[in-house]
Amino acid sequence: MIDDYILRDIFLDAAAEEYADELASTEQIATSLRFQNQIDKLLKKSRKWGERNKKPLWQRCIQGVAVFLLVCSLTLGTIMVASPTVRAAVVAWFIEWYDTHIIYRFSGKPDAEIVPEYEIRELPSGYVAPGEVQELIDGRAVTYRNSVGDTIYFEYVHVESGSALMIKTEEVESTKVEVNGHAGYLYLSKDLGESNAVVWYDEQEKIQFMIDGFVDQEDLLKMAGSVSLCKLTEK
Amino acid sequence: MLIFLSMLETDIERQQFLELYKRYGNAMLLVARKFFGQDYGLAEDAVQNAWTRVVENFSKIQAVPCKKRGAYLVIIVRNEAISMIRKRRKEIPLNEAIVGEEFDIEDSSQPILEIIHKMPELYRAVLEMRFVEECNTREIAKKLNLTESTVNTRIHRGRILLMKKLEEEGYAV
Repeated sequence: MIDDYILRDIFLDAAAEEYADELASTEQIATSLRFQNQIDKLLKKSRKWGERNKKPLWQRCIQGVAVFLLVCSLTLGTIMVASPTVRAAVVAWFIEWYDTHIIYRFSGKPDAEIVPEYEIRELPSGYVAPGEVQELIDGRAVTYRNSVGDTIYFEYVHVESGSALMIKTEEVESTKVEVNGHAGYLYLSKDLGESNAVVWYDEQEKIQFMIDGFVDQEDLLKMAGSVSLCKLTEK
Repeated sequence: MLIFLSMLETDIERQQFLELYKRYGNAMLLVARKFFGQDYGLAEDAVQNAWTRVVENFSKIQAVPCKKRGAYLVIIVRNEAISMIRKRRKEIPLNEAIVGEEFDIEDSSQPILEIIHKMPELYRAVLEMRFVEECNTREIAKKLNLTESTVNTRIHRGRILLMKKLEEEGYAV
């Protein structure tokens, strides 16, 4: 409707007037390392992903309201409604279910500060190790490539309060899995243009792992199962 | 956001996006901070969400005149902030959920821009999400924790009253 375009412009003019100072500001805003890291990854990786015009399934972000709490612990059982005492003692892994995506959100105070180094020991044929390592403020990301430019993205982060991972679930089938005794989820895309992913959480180390790539379920689970400490950092 | 940047099909689009980010990223942070006080983390989250919406709606932004794109981004981040605040509330008061904040502009003798400035935030957010962001009723209701009926009513009334005001001010409609 033409009326709607006129109203659009009126609202745009109103916003431009109201926020003229902010829009004209040249002040450099100090932001958190977390935010900078997210933006840096966005700007660096956007070209690489864009070159192949394919879509990874995951996204790091922070979002809204927890729907329910899932605390993953083999010793405590698969699902536990946490008491305030227990909640204070562990890092809680919230899963928020929305129509189009799932968000893993973390809350609590982890004890350890140093993230050990991990690697995928059983990569699919053609992928080269070691991968390219990128240090994150709370973990590491490793990108493995094959000769035609396909990538497998392996990320592990020491979870802290407020950090989150979002998985798109439109056209995605999710299945509960277990990776080396840790609870997780497998996400398989029905769209061939989107990657598959597996996410799991090591409640003892308080590290969330994710592997994302254009590989099938079998390869994903094999890789996940082979994730181990790098030889130099093994205890 | 990595998902969505790959949805920008061409290098030109990606370059345009990066330019928008460089030019307006700070402004968006400043606007978001107005809503969250000292909680800069939440402000950053709102900005992050806003950039996701930017990529999702990139074709709409390209249709906006260049000089108005900053305002468009400011509207997106502001409404993201409002949406986050709404979703964090544990309960929505019954009156607000059904009736919403009422705002009568029929008697106002002020210019239309002044009227918009003085609109209650939630009322304005509904109208901006429809007329600027071109969200549908369901999306607006979900983002703002309102009923679809409330959203439709506000949009319908808002459109009629604002168009009437525009005519009074001599805009060709």
